[in-house]
Amino acid sequence: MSEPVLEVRDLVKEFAVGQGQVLTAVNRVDLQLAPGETLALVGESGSGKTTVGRCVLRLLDTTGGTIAFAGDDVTRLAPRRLRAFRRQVQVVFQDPYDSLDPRMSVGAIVEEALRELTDTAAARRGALTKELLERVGLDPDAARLYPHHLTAGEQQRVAIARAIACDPRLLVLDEPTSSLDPITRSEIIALLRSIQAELGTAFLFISHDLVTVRHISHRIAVMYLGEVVETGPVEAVFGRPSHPYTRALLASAPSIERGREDAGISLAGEIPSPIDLPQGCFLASRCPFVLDECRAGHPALEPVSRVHHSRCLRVTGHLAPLPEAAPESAHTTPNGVPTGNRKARVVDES
Amino acid sequence: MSEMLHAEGVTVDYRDRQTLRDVSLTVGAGEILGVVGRSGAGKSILVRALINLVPPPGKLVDGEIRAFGTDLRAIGEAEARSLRGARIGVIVQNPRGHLNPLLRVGTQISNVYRAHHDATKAEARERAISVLRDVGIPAPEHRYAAYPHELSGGMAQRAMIAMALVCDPELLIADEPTSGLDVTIQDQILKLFRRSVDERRTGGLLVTRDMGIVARFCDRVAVLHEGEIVEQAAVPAFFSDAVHPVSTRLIASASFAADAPGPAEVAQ
Amino acid sequence: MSTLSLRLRGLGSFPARANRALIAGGAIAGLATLLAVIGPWIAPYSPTRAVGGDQLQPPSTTHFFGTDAVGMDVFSRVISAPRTDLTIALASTALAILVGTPLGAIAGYYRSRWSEALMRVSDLVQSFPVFILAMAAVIVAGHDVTSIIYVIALVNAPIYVRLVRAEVLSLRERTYVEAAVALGESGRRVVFRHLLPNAYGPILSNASVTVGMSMLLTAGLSFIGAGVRVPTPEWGSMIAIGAPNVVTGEWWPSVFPGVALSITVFGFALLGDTLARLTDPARRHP
Repeated sequence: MSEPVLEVRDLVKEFAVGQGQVLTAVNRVDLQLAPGETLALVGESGSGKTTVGRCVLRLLDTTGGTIAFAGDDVTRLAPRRLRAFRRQVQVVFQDPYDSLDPRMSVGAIVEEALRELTDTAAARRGALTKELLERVGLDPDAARLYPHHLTAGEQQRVAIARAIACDPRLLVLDEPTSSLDPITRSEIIALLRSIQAELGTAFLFISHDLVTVRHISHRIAVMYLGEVVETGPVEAVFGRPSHPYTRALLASAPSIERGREDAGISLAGEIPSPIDLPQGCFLASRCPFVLDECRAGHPALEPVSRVHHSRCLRVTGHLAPLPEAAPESAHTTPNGVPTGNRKARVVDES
Repeated sequence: MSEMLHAEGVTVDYRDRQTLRDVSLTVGAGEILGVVGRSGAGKSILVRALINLVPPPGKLVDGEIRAFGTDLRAIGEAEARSLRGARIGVIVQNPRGHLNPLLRVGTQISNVYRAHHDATKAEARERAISVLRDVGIPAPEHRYAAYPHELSGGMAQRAMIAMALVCDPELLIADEPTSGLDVTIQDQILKLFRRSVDERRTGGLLVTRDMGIVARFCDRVAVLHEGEIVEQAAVPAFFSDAVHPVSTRLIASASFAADAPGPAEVAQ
Repeated sequence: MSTLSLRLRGLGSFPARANRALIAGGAIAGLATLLAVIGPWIAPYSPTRAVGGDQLQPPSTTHFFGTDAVGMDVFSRVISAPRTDLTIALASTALAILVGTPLGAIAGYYRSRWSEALMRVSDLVQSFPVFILAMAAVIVAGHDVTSIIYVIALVNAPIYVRLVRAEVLSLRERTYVEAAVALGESGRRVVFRHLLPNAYGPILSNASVTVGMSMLLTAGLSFIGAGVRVPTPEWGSMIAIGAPNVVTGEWWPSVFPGVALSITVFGFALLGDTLARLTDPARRHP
């Protein structure tokens, strides 16, 4: 039970989209992250998960709420403190090639992080760069190469080396594996987990890929239309998904274990516009379990168990409970799985 | 004719390197063949080779490709083109680049339909709108008149899929058609694909990185590795008995392995 | 990582594929530069002195390119002209790039009212007919080489403001720029370390065009009498002076400087284009 590294409270991010209209990308999000823990932010496009990551990194200014990191409010850091903050919070992006300056050698890219973010003496930087490259599983001589010489997996290793150069306390991983093939992806996930075990770094892992999330996360927060709709330990959210959106997400992802079986539950229509948010529950227009009351009041994120929260009136006891015999319950039990010997349930869709 | 596609000994050279070596595969009626492999294994080249459109400097140097019994390498370009539009549907990666930015999306789709059918403009429009609806585009009557830049990336991708489906092809060749799309949309599109193959006894070849898609939607699977097919099997058997190391690694990487991190020491 | 070590071993063995465009462009530009230095010294006759009684001699072994209407040796003048033409073209292009590039980068990276104002000013300069602007400026600033350099630089600078701004606007969307910000790098460092170097290619290839255009502009100014004063050897003024003779059949005083001008402009265009392609990191480090 240690102090959280990161505590996001009531985070709101709006974008002005002209004609006085406002797009609400992030809507009163609360998150906590303990040292050495991985919290996954999961959701489809338009869920606001990437915007949350950009706000935490202070690459974007927030509209409301607080982001507490090591006791400081990130949203109002003075430039001098911002520098100290950058030494403790780093990032790995989705597209590894795009995130490396094509004109800089691999060595120069990592050295730049050492120069900007650490007090390493100039003479030591070359040696340290090689150590970092070795740490992420690259040949230290790769320092001489340029990004276009590397495969996507190797490029992502360079981006990881750059991010851990300052030994950060928090790493924001924005879809770091979704452009990689499955084997490379599992190699990168293994690397990230070993780094976390060694350095005790907390990870904010942003992804739409449920398999990867299952492999790396301790806790998960499912986002829909700028809100967290369900959050809890990974076993609870995957094993006993409570919110209809989470259930639909898990049901839509095809998996080896479920094979041909159709999980049944699916969402109708399209995600509503974040410029003109609905009155009641944001999922009401698409939810297969919707009741009239769902369209009236906006549900709060309320506990299902001590650590598991859900934003659904039918889950948190305000309205008639969701039908237990929903078709998707089939994949919450490991029995009847075609291949038998695996406990896994859901596979990604990258 | 139950064989929709039959390829034998397909070999492609790219400059002085062989990118495809002696690839043989078939797609039967009512069947979807999944093609999987690591990036760089030659999956996208294979898709192009199968429609005899290998981009230079690549060169299809050897092999036989028959679609519905017709030798694709023997027929002229005009005949091949009418085959590709009407009876063979092709979905490539990076769909946005394949939409003409100056034409309305709906017009482009109905043009494809009219090129291969004797249909009036109104009929083609109706057909295009119904396909747009099938691939999950909301308000298709409205989107019909949109230009490509007015669509989101996912929406443009679905429009491309609609274009490949508008003629009800008997053979659909798709290269990662749903990569980057949200899972709920992906599910809808692949179900549509599966249903059309089942109901109309057509054939499909689906290149994917997602082993879950293979398990859910394919009947057989071919594993491509460094330009060669290293394993080919029926789907349930493949997941239980795959032997090639690439196959087993692909399967392992896509499973919820038991080595997920233990319960977190959460500060709550 | 076996393929990686393979690629490592391949490093340093640059493919020595001969680039004919680079060689041709380099040879022409090199010759022009050489002539700019030594042209007047190796000229068989004085490029500025008329030889009495030798007017409008056709090309011969004594006067390779003939003589012009006042009896000056055309060959000597053609090979002496690069000193003027090249100096003006290179200096004004360098000045235009030096001024335009940082302004463009700043206008692209920091979006503010000032950068908007800057763009409007460069619009204004660009929308003015080049010749009238240049003539007006030369009349105000005087006829000497320095003021012609300033005028041509002024005309060309907005091209670079615009070009670099457009490049920076697209480059700033790349993730590595965001990564640099996350590394705590200052805006100035992001602009000069990550954005500008990636815009070198377009700047270089455009520079070659500008060098050529500046030469043509210099020649044009001379042609209408607003440029370099006679008898300073300069291709444009030579073409102008010789023009009345062309209609009566004495083509050599105009055609030889014209050909020299065309070849030089072409050579610089070739050179710049090839250099631009070579700055692509994938080509520099194959």
